[in-house]
Amino acid sequence: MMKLIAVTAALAAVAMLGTTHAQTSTTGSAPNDAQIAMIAVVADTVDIDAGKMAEKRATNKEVKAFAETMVRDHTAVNTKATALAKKLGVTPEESATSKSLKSDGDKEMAKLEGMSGAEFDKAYVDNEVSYHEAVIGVLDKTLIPNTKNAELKDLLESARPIFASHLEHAKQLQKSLTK
Amino acid sequence: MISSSLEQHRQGVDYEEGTDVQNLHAAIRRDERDLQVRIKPFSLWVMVVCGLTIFFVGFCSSRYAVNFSAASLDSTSPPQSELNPQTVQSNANPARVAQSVGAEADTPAVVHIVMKNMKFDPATIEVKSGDTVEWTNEDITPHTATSAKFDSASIEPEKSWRHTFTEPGSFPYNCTFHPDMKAAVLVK
Repeated sequence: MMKLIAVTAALAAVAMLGTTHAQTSTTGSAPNDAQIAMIAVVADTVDIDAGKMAEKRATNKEVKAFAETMVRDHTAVNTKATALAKKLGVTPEESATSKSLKSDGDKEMAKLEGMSGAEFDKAYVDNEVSYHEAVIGVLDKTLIPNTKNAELKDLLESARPIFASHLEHAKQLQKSLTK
Repeated sequence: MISSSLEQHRQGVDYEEGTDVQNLHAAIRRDERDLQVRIKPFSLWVMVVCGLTIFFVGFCSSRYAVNFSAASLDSTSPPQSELNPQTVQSNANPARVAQSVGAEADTPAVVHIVMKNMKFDPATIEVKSGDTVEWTNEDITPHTATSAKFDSASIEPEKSWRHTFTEPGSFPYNCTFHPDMKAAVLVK
């Protein structure tokens, strides 16, 4: 009986090792630090651009204040990221992720461009909720686990609670706007 | 070859185990029946004793907690009892309340609060009238410490701002940039 258990366990272990190995070798497209730095900078820039538009266009006072916070905070994160890249001698490098972030951001800007008043406020806040959810997902699943440099990892980890706070803030606004 | 011998081996084991397990189950059932009869009066006693103990402990601690928060609330002036339930709760837990440094002596103290990871730490702080509170921003984004009675305006990363409290009361405040950053200073 014990032998059987041991054999089964060993077989299971080998099978698991095989699959995890297969997984790691297929995800050879994990971004390097230069690409991660670019993804972080683009993610911030997209939100800064939307925020700048909302600072001017939003009619709701709280939405305007939120937009100001987005511009202020994401600019702060970007300044840190750019300074760190310079210090480490890393030139941020484009990747499929950074390109799709940029093009999605451009599309969203074009959509917001045609709106005004309460319609604009709602569309901006809705997008901020889904955008921050998406960015936190990318941070947790792709950026933080793949970052090699400790300082860059630290920066991304300290940016995470900022994005989480923005998400909560946006969700609160979303609730108050749909009342 | 190997698989067929394994198969045989397993069948044999299953059969043996089957009877063993059956015997075991029968034995357990017998034991359970006996235990049910024998233990009943005893378990009743255990339940009564436990119940009384829990009630007694609960009663004592609730009295203690009420006294504690009542005492700290008494010291705050009546018009400013705008403490939210959250702060009262953390106040009832002495470990979470940072006491001012010069609490024993009557010299004014400087009490430190950090803004880190989008939180004020500690979130509730108790000081004496005349004490100064210093907020230091350890995040990478600017914050504020703002209440009806004081406003730091923007505190940049790595910068600090001080406020001296001269009247007793409870002062809930937040960061105007990040409304979910909430905290309170209790001045005795």
